[in-house]
This record gives sequence, structure tokens and C-alpha cells, in this order.
Amino acid sequence: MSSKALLMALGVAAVACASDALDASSSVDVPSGKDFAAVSLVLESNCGTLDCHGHPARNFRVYGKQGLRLFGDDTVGGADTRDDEVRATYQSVISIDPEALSRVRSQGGAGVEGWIVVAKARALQYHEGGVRLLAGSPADTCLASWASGTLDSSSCFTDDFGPIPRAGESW
Amino acid sequence: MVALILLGVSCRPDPVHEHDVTKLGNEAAGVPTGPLHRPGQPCGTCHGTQGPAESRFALGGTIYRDPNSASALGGATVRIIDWTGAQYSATTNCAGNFFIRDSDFVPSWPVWVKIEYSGKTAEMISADFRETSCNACHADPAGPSAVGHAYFSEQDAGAPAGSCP
Repeated sequence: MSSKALLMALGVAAVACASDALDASSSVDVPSGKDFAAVSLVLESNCGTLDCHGHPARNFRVYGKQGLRLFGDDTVGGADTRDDEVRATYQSVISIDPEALSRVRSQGGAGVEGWIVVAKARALQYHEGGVRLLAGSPADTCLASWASGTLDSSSCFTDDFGPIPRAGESW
Repeated sequence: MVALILLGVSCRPDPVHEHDVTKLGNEAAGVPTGPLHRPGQPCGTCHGTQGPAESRFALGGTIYRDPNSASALGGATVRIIDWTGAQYSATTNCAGNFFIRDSDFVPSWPVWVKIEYSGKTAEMISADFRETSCNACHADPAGPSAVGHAYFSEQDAGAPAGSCP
């Protein structure tokens, strides 16, 4: 096969793959942003520090008080997380593999580990940040339950990742 | 031929890293390369795995006395505890710099940090999940993507430890 023919074949293959992934006729049904503020709290503390997904260079951005701010006149550690920042984080989350997220929701949460956000957080896929949410922990349950469409908001306020020294604890 | 091209590509320096190093600029006049140099700059840019510095840091940064001035806090103890509970500490020098060589301690991320000075303690609010340069996030000026320099106290840090010779 000549190099020209090879290039053409590769080009056709690439277009075929792209058209499969970008099927305009498909629709997605992602979880609502109505109760997302509780989930946003978990993402802010576990994923959204400036050295991780609170960095403006990341495609999956998490906004919040202790990380990246949405508005130029806000400072890190300044005003509390704003509603607009929660919405921006929501938009960021649902833009990550929305087809898989939609599938998880339609299956009532089954296969949630197949959605890349959960897979990365549990380090089931390579994740530069390693394990950020231990499977079955309250924080993990918060995210996974939201993805399934039945948010367990009581799990969203507990952060039990590792032996984190708490205020008042000596170390 | 293809193998040679691949070899050439793999040996090419990382242009992003090169840019980051260049962006740091030249050494300050009168300050030799060493523990006192480049306070406030991200140590890990040069002291990380890509160099060009020979020494490798697991963590390093600069501590200042307060949020509003560039007055370094020397003689402070910077304590870290990692995910496994392993601990290590380093002391800031007269430039406010501290560093932990990776030959001495390699943390299991994330780490939590606190500063002790003159019988008082200041604890960092969030964990450090991977960043070896404290000053990468603790850059000035504070804004939507930078927290401002790391400092010990909002007001008075106590008696100054003196300045660098």
C-alpha cells in the first residue's frame, strides 16, 4: 500500500470513529443540578484544591472557596463558594463522559464505577491524584448516589478520607 | 528511520518545563545559588524530577511573617503529616525557605501542613494533594487562582528572627 493510500485509510478510520463518538442523534439524561451544592462540597474538598482540579489549566475544573474562583475579584480562601461556582462545577462534571453518566442514571446507579469521574476518584483508572474517594465512603457515596439520580445528601457532609488530622487533634 | 525519529522525539526536552524554568528569571543579585535563593518561587520547578537543579525536593516553600509584607519568617518549624500518618519537619532559614529532600522523606500524598513558631501554631486549611512547591499555589498576588504567599500570622508573628547576612 502506498503511503498516500495508507494516509487516506487512516483518515477514513478516524472519521468513522469520530462520527460514532459524536452521534448527534443521541441524547443524554444527566442528574439534576438542583441538589448539587452538597456534591460540590465533596468535590471542592477532595478534588478542587489549586494543585489538582482547582487549576485553571484542567479541563475538569472544580470551583470553590478554597480552590479556583470563578470571578476575577474573588480570592482563594475569601468569600464562601458562590451559587454560580456551584453551577460552574456542575456544568464541568456533567460534561465529563455525559453518555456514561446518563447510562448510570438510567440503570439506577448500576455500573457507576464505569463513569470516569468515579473511576478516577477511586483510582480504578490511572489518576495522577491517586485514590481521592474510597469506595463506599460517605464522600464516595455522595457522588455515586448523585450520579444514580437518588442523592444521599446525608453522606455529603462527612469527609473521611484517610487519617486526616482534624482541628483540635494533635499531631 | 522511524526508530531514529521516535528516539529524537522522546529525547526532546519538555518545552512546558523549559518555559517554566525560564520564566523564573535570573538569580537575585548578591544571592548565590543555595538554600537562601529564590524565596517565593516554586522550588519544584527546578528541584523536581526534570531538574535542572541536582538536588530533588519532596516539598519546599517559603514562609512569611504575615499576609501583607514580604518579611520572611526564619526559625519556624514546618511540620507535615501524610496520608499514612508519617511525619517530617523542616526549619525555615533566614530567607523563610524550607525544603525536604526526597532522599530524606517521600510523603504519601496528600499531606497536611502546619507551622510552629514562638510557641504558636498555624495550620493550613486544605491538604496538599500533590504539589511539591508550596509557592506554586501560595503565589502573589492573591487572586482567583492563587492564594497569596504562605504566612504564619494575620498580625504579629512575634520577635523577628533576624535577616539574612
